Amino acid sequence: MNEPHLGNPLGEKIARLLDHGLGEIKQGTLYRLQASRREVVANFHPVQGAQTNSGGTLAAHGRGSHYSGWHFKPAMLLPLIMLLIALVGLTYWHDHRQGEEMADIDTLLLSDDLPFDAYLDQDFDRWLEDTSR
Amino acid sequence: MSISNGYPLATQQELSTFLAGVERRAFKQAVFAVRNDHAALDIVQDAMIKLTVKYAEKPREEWPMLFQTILQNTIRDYHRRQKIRSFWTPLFSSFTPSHEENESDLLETLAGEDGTNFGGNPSDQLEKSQQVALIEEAVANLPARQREAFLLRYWEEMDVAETAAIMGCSEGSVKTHCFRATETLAAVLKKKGVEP
Repeated sequence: MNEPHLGNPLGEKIARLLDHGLGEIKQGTLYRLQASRREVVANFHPVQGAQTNSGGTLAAHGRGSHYSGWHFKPAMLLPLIMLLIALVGLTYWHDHRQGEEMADIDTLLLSDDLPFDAYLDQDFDRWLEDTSR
Repeated sequence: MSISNGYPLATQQELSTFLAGVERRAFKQAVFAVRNDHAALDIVQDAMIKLTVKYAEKPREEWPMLFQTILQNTIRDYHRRQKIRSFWTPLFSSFTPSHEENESDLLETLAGEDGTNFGGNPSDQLEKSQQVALIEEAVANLPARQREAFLLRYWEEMDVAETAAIMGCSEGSVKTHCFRATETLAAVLKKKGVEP
């Protein structure tokens, strides 16, 4: 920036005249510009930048600065990741347990040691009748 | 002093000083582009907010370029919205600001001049003021890309590379736009008998 305007004196002269034109902006417009700026600046809070007169930092509520509203922070991802891990773990444990139960039943059937619950199962009775015919 | 991303965090005072230094030129740039004071004020305010929200943590020396990029994009967004609006509501497109409004602004400017801006006697002041009005009108009448390049280069004092980055074009295009803008302005001013 601030590179000299090589070979264009007309550009420089016009820029100077445009600068003069800035002084002719209406007061009402200047007031609105000033009001907009003040509002924007008032809503800007450099969170970590606030320092006391004695040199101590007033507060540090996180990194960076904010204007207003919700801001995404990487720390917010952590609970989500933990929830996903828990869900995957639960699903895996459930499948594993179901597989073990099936294996136990198969073992009991093969060893001819029928579990008591099998006699209460109507589907098992029907199966026995079908196979005995 | 606290540090963020390797740079000291901006204070409200620094931000205020920066914005105060650029707001008038930004307003004028927007007026040249959209020819409507109210819309121009909204555009400048939007640009201020966007800079503050998204880029206040950037190093101070990057602020001018970032602000100009935001400003030019906001002006383009305004034009895009206007195009869509006038496509859907052709009946109301005739109410968009016209050239006559700009002329009345110039007359108001001349009438409202308090004589404190330009030193010297009243006739010099009037002459200077008329020159400014003519130049502003000529700049506003430039094609959008030429005006953007010219103002960024010679008024905002950006170099060719920065201007190209802001406009999203090549450095060669920036030079061409600036050359054509300067030629057009010289021709217009010569025609009007103005010696800047």
